[in-house]
Amino acid sequence: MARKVSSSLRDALVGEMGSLRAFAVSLCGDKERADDLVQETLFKAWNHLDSFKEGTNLKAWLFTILRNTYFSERRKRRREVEDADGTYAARLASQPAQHGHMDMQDFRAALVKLPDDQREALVLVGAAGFSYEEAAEISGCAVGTIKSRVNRARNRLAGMLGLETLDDAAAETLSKSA
Amino acid sequence: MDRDANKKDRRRKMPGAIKKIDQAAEHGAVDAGGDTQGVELDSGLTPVLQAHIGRHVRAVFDEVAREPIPEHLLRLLKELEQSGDK
Repeated sequence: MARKVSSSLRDALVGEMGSLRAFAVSLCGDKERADDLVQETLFKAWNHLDSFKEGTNLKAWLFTILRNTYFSERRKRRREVEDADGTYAARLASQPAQHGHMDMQDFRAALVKLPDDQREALVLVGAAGFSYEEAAEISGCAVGTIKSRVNRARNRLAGMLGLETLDDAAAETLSKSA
Repeated sequence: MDRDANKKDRRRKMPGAIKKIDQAAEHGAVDAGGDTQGVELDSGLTPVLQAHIGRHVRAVFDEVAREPIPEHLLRLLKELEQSGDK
């Protein structure tokens, strides 16, 4: 079970906490629940540290534990109470945008509307800094599936935000103001 | 007679037509290109647009990632560490 943890491993764990939290929020849309998820992930990680090979990808390992925890809990809860996706969408959409940019708020709302698997893939590859291969391993699916999810996510976002008709110059201008 | 047959024919075609519309709605603007096969492997968005979306995804993510770690999580880590020798 638990073993003496080297201080470097502990530091590495602390170092990944921020992005682990961000990933959790992107999955469940709720900071409180996200912190519970992170806490559970830390527990599990700690108790299974012997199955982690030091020097390998700690971040990917933690992300895998967290997303598996989230999806298995959600399956359980779905069986008990029908938690419509709309509840989650409404919750996140009502969170005030801290940037104050209308643009950012629109984007956040659109992101929430993506199917779970697409949002997960997009966040893993597009924000958390994983390669397609790593993301596939974390999500337990084929690399091609991740690529397809990421592309579908981008397309859907572009559609929801009315971006497809933008030409490059307009997109560039938008980005600068974001 | 012919008109009746026509009506029937139309009725028979309706469910299929509705299904097609539903499918199109499901795909939404995603498959605006009309090609549903293999379209996912190439998003069809310009690199600039992809980068634009990418920047936003990262911004949403980083906003949370950069927040200070909640006290109770740091405390938990410390506790786990202290019980590490069991």
